[in-house]
Amino acid sequence: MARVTLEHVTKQYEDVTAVDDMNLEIEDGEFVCLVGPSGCGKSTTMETIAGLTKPTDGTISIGELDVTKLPPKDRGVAMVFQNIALFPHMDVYDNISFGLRLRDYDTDEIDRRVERATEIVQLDGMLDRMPDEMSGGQRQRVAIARAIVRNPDVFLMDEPLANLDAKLRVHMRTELQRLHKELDTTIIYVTHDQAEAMTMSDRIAVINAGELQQIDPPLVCYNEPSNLFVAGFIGSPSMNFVEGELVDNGLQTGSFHIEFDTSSLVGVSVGDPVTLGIRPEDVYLVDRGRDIAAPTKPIPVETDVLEPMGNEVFVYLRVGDSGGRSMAEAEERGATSGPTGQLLMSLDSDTEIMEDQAVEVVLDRTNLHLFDADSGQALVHGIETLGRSGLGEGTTQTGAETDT
Amino acid sequence: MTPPPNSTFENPPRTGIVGLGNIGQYHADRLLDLGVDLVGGMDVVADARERFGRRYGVETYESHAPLYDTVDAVIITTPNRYHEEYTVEALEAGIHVLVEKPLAHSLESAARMLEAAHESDAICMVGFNNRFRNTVRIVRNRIERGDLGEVKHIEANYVRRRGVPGRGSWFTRRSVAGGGALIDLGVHAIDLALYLLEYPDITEINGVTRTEFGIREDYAYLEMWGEDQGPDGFDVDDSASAFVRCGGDRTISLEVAWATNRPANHQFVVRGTEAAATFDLLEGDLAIHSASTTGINHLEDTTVQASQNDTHTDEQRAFFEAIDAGTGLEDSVDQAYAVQQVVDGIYRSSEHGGCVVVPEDD
Repeated sequence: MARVTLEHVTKQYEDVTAVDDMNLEIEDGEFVCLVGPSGCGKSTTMETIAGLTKPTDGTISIGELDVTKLPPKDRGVAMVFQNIALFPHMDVYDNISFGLRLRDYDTDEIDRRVERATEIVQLDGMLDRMPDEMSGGQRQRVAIARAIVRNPDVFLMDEPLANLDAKLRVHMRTELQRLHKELDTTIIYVTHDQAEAMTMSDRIAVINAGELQQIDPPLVCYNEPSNLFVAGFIGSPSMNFVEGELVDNGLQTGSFHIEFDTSSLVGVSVGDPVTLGIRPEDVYLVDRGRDIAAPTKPIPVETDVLEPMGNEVFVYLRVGDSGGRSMAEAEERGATSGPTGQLLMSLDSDTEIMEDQAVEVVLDRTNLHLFDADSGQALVHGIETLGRSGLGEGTTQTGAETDT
Repeated sequence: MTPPPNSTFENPPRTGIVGLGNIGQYHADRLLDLGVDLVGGMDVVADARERFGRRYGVETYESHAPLYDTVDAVIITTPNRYHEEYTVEALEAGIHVLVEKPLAHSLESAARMLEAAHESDAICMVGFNNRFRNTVRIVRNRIERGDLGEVKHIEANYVRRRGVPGRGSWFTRRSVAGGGALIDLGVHAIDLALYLLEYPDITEINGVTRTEFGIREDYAYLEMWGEDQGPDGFDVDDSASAFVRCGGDRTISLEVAWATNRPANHQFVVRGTEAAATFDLLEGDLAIHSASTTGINHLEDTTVQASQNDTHTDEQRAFFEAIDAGTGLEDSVDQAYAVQQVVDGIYRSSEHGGCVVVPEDD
């Protein structure tokens, strides 16, 4: 068990900065997921910790030891990868004990450790099987057991479940949580699957373009994303984004107005472009919105496509003229939601609703996020705390049709 | 067998050979030249064991375990598919390994070997002997001195006109070799090109592999290495062309063939911003080409002459020197893995019909 510290770690390839001035402190015994889109630098970050890649700059410490220049075998880490690298000519026992035999442990000690590891990953009775006689899930358990027997200070796992089928992946997720609880060791886990990150981590480190965007517990990343990228990346389906402009008494988008006291916002002033973020579950049909404490004024919309998911239904809403920025521009700022002029709402599956229906929706002010549209940085999470300016809130003259 | 008195090393490691075919014997002969203590051999084929034992007067074994009990180092010259098993077992036992090229028959196997090499304290070297050619050493030295400026492009040719190895031997069977001309000859050309570029990051590969000659009943040739069992024993590529893009837009154009309709070509062209080097890998002819404004504008072609050397001997010497020093060759398997990534990328590109990125997963 050990704390892992990255200080100003940069990995520069000839044309590309894969990791850019990364600072991370992972506590002893913590389960941290590194998440981000393909090519964001999460695997490279992991490789620098493992010792498989030498950073161009910066230092990496495990415990009190500066390991930046140490080879992988001397770092006290054990790795599990996506591609299950079992030696095909060795049986399960030999595969699991491979690292121990290299280090000249005596046979009794090796047996004891293999026995304990196979118990933990529930592979008892399979020690003489060959890898090609096992399923993908079993092979991945062998790979994990091989990591366990080394009693590492830190487990490094790079998408270890990516090649398993969906059902097994969910099962292995709970197994890994159990493993973490049982071993009480530091685990650093790379994944692009945010469901894995949300369910397993103590903290999530969201990485984009080689830079750390936020490191916080899953629900903090979800409820208080530090910028547009994190807001769009964490949560499925993604947060809605609507482009607008800060006006005297709140936010004016192309089709509706949200009232709040702008004076307490720091870093932006009237006239600045601001992006509104709202999660699909914080958009309500107007009559259901009466149940929430702080609804906005009704916004007239028209339903578009419905996506029934069984337990809920996703409803795409057309919201008047967008008047805002294009999707491409929004994406440039890291947002991954749909185009402005469209909102996604999630409803209980028993809600009566049809396509192409004119309805009114309200947004939950306590879960409404504002971002500086230029920098992408979060301005506030929940505008109810800002207070209202006293002016009315509602649709504008140029807003959508209101024939509800 | 005691080491000959002319031993180059103070404590020559007790060395064994795994895979006692032609290349195994070739290595054994060079071991004796170097004064290294050859103590035994292992092969699953009884004839090979018997021949080797008789020729070198050492113990031979059907399995690797008893050999590994008696050696400090092994040279692995088995068919590609078996490199992993013998290498990993040796590294695990703390035995130093010189494994013949290519690293493995597949990228997955190569990855496992890389992991084992990282884990082990023993030295593991992959036998890209052409690096040790005197002409190559001179070119590399010129590059390090900056004589060529920045090397931007390498034309790497390893082209035989008619040189398919014994059809039906392991070389021409995908399940054992992992490929044909590309994995047999191509790895030499790829390693040399990357070596002269000082192993840059590889980004993108576009390649085609072809199977045009080995499958013919009427394959016309003058000489064949090994016995010809006809086209039924042939299921691999016999030529390949590829374009490899590396970091900094440095590039390699690769031509490899066991057989193709053009004269044989082993020419390497190393194009730098200040000068170029051209050499023939087999003949050794080396020239440096530059241009100058000094005095009157002129072009300059300098011929460089060097003696021919035995590349396998020099490769072995580097291996045993590293063992002696307890360090060196740390990048050997990583670089051989990069070569394997290029080989795999060319096969993927050929199958996919377009460019592929390396590594496969982002």
